[in-house]
Amino acid sequence: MSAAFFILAVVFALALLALLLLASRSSRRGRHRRDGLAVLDSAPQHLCHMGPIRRSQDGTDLHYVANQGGRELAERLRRERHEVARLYLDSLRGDFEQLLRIARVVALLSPEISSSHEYERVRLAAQFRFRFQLVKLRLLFGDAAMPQVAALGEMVSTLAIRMEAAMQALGERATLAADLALSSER
Amino acid sequence: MLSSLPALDLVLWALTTLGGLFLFCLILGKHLDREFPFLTIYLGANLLQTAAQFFLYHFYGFTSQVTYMAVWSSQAVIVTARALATCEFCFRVLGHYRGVWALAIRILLASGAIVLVLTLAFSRDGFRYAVMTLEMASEAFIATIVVGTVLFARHYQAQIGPSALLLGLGFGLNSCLKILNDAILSRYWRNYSGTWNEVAMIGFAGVLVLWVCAMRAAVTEYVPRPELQPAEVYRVMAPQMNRKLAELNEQLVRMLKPERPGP
Repeated sequence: MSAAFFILAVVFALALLALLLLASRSSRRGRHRRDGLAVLDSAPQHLCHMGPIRRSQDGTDLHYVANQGGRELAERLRRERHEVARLYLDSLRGDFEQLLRIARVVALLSPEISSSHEYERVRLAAQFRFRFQLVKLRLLFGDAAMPQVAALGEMVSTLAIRMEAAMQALGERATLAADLALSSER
Repeated sequence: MLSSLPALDLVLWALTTLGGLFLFCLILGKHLDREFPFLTIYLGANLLQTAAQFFLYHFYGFTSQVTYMAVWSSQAVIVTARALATCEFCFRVLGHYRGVWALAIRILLASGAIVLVLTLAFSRDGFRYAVMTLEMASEAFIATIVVGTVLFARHYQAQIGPSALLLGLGFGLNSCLKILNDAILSRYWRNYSGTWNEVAMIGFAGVLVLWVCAMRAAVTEYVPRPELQPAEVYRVMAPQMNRKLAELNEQLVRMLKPERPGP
């Protein structure tokens, strides 16, 4: 056996072992699944702060500060506003992750959801995370990065439409099951 | 002939055989064979293999070609039975969630097959270690499926009962230890060949302990079957979630877009 294959085999086995033990440990600790409406208790919470955040990016204020307080003060204000916007973007990401968690619970409780939907959601989430980092970088360097932000919004829309369709299907099936049960009782 | 084996080997062999027999009887005694049919078949096949090995070693010796061929051929049956028992474990964990199961089984089998093919492709060591390589590839397939199942369950926050968890841990540990043991043997044949068998049997004894605990847990365990939420709950959930998503979407799009002061 070659040294390379030996090392590869040992690393592979140890990595799988570590993954197994880690994943099992977290399962044993009891990651309680929050299902049904309970998941919504911690649904997106940061959206209501969007107004002030958006206003904070208004260039008119900066012009005013630059005229009245000087270029240095305006620059400091711009940096601080970007920092606030960056922190807000992080909170929005938290909201998105929470929505994905809700989607996972819906998937878990949906016997009829096709695998293509799941693939699609995984792809969407990966894309969101990647583009989110791009937007964050652009923000860090002071660029408003509007096209990227718009693309993120589009992704969230797609997710919303998919979840709506899935849940509608679940609702219809549950109703159908209830109707059948009622008719059999009669 | 068997007396020529080191005492430690004989003791370990006896211990693992008794352990396997105990587990087999426990499963049959508690009527768990209906719940774990493939695990029962695997353990039964394992015991039959031990009995066959006993006669082969006794009549043909350890170095005979007949013994070599028979033992390694039976090992193929054992590994196949264990792979089926592993799939049984996967179904026990994710099978209730039909939507997730449909996705998981495809990904797990595909990943396992890729790992199996890659292991066979990258270990070009000729015929000498062919059997060892084949065993390592099969164990890699099983370990990938087990770890993948646990990761899937974690991702979807699907509950894993203690019995399934211990069972999976047993399968995973067994396969990973076998890969490590076989890899070391193939690399350091001269120094390790004496210890290889003992390490394998100690590892298997540990796995048997896990499986006994799993079966004891399965006797009293109540496995809740997930049910669809009533239609009303989904009707309430759907608009709430979509409103949140739509809000998030709108805010993201408008983010950093400066509001122009009105005229």
